[in-house]
Amino acid sequence: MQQDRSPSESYFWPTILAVGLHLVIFAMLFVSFAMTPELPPSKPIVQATLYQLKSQSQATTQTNQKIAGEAKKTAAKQFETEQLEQRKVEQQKIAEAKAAEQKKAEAARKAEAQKAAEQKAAEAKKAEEAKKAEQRKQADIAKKKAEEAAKQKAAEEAKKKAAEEAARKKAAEEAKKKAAAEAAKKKAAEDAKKKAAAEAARKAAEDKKAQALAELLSDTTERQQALADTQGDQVAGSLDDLIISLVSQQWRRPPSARNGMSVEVTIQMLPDGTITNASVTRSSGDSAFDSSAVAAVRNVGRIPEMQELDRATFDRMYRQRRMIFKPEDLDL
Amino acid sequence: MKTLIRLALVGLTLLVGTVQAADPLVVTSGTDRATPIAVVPFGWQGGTVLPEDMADIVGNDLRNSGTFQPIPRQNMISLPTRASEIIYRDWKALGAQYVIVGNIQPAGGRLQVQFGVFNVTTEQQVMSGSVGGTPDQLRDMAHYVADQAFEKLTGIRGAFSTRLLYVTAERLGAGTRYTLQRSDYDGARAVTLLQSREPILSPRYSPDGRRIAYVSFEQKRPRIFVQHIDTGRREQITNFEGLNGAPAFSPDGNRLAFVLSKDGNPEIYVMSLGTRQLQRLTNHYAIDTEPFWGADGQTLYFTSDRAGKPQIYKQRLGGGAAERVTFVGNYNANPKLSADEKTLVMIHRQDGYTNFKVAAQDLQRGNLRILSDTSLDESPTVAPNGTMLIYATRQQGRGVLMLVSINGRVRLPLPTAQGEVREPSWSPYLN
Repeated sequence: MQQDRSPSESYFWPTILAVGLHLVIFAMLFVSFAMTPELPPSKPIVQATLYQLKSQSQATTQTNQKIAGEAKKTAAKQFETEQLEQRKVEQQKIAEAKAAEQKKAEAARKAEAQKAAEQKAAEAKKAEEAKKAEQRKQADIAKKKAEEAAKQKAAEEAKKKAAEEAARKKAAEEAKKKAAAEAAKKKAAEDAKKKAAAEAARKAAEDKKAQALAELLSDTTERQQALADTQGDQVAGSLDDLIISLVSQQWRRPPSARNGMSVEVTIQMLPDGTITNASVTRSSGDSAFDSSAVAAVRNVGRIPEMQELDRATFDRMYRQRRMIFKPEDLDL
Repeated sequence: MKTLIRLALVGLTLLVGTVQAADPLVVTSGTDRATPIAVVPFGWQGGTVLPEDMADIVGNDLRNSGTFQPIPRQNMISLPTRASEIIYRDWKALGAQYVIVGNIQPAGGRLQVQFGVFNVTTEQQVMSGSVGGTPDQLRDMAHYVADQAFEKLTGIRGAFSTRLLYVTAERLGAGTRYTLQRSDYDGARAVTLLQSREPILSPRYSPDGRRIAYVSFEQKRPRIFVQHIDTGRREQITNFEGLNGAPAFSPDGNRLAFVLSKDGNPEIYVMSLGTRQLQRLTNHYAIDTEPFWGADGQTLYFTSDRAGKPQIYKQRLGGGAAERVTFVGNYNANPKLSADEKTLVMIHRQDGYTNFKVAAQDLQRGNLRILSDTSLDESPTVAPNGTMLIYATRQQGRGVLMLVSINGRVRLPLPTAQGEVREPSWSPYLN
């Protein structure tokens, strides 16, 4: 009579469980919400005030200490006392040679203020050079003209180059289109071929079963196998180039990239050409450089031309393939 | 037995064949074009119009890196705000490689942003995330989204939440008003840190981004100060005879390198900020200036004209001779290193007298690339992730700031206040 439990009894534990689970999920909602990062409140900024002093560095230091409102370390104090004494002597000196000193300071200040950005004494040299430049104005103008002409020429050349590039791109695109059309045609033909091949393969397999092991290893079979391999390799060779060119078009190198750096990425593909995975198998030591290579492969996405390949060659060469990224075209 | 040997041989041949077939494919060239990316306007569930366009800020950030090319909004066929609304076919037609969507929701006076990045080729989600903040933090949240997406897509840490220091000079009647400004890296949201009637020069961040050092002429002479950004508290660091200039914090933040001319001509010194102990680095009758620390905290790069013309040298703190680093061109100054110390950025003059350009030099091979298309360039400063740099130059007789991606793809002026703008300095990572 165990089956005849009352309905309320048989639903008791499931109900408890269900309610409990709901509570847990509800609680987790708040946990995840609480884990959202909150930006720290923007701090107000206090504008600093200038010291109300002319040249009394003693008072400067005192005010400074007041503002700071903290006792200096003994060492610092000692050093400061020493400095203060030194400054006193300096001030006396200054008073004695006040006129000359002021003149000098003023001149220095003016020069420095004018060239506020540089504040380099090297600037004096620049000025001299500029003077010289003026003296050679005539020559310079001629030079400038020549430069301008060169610039124009360069610009024109750049334009030409761009036009050429565009033409080349167009041509490449047309070629691609053509190739795609051809591929479609080929595919149709190949489909028929494949059917026949499949039939043949089935027959061959049956034959194989019937044949003895010795015959399987006979010269003729081996030669045929070799022949098939080379044909597959030829298609594969052009697919290598295709993969390299597609990945190159997606490869954007980080600023840390340098010619000669190298990262190995292993890619995994499905027979329809979909790249399912790309992962670093030998790092360059630079994570941004590694990521750029992985992203390049991922962003290619799918290479439909892989379908042209027979299955055996695909499995052998492309199901998993290593790629090495080693820039040679960077200018730094 | 013979059959067995033969079988083994065949097996071996097959194996060798497989190994040969698996010759790796070698890719030696890439593309110079930026990756097309679509940053779709973020959805907004609130009533009022938001003061900032987050998607626009994210798109500009990604563009500024020189790595991405945002797709113009008017070309977008659909405007999804969540994963389920993305029609990949539309984005394929536009040539987008990635799509970023986002949705903003009000949450009790605050805002909650959900975002996702999708790969159009693989039709897969690359990442998703969320961030919260107040309505006046929309720019911060946008830079956060850009940082996250950039790191996920490139493997490089994003630097869009960093800040910039620069100096402005404005003519006011008889005098000039100088201000020290801090803004977002893209020039937005400028805040004044200091105002003076006298020049302010060479602002530099400390490695923790909380203090800055600069040269102020407020006492009529160049003196070096350190200021705490949050409190405005400042401290005078130097008061030596003559020139006190070009401060630079050491990588540990405890020392300051600068230039003093107290002994006759400009030399480079290092001061320990705790003990105020002074150490002299260079000792040469030529001018030595513009120190920049190597990451080891022991090497200083600097400009010197000891060979007749300004060139860049490096020297170790412990002693040893200065080693010349630049050899191309008749003027190389203002050295800055990328964080990975692979690239030296500087002001470079190939020849002539006025053609000062920003250039990058590979430190291992020595080859050099001109990055700017302006002349009279000054003060280059590199983003902490090395993807962008900002420099000062002159346009129509006015000092302006230019942003350039290190790969040279992006060159654009930064929006800044009226008057002269100069002496930019990039902050370290602040988050």
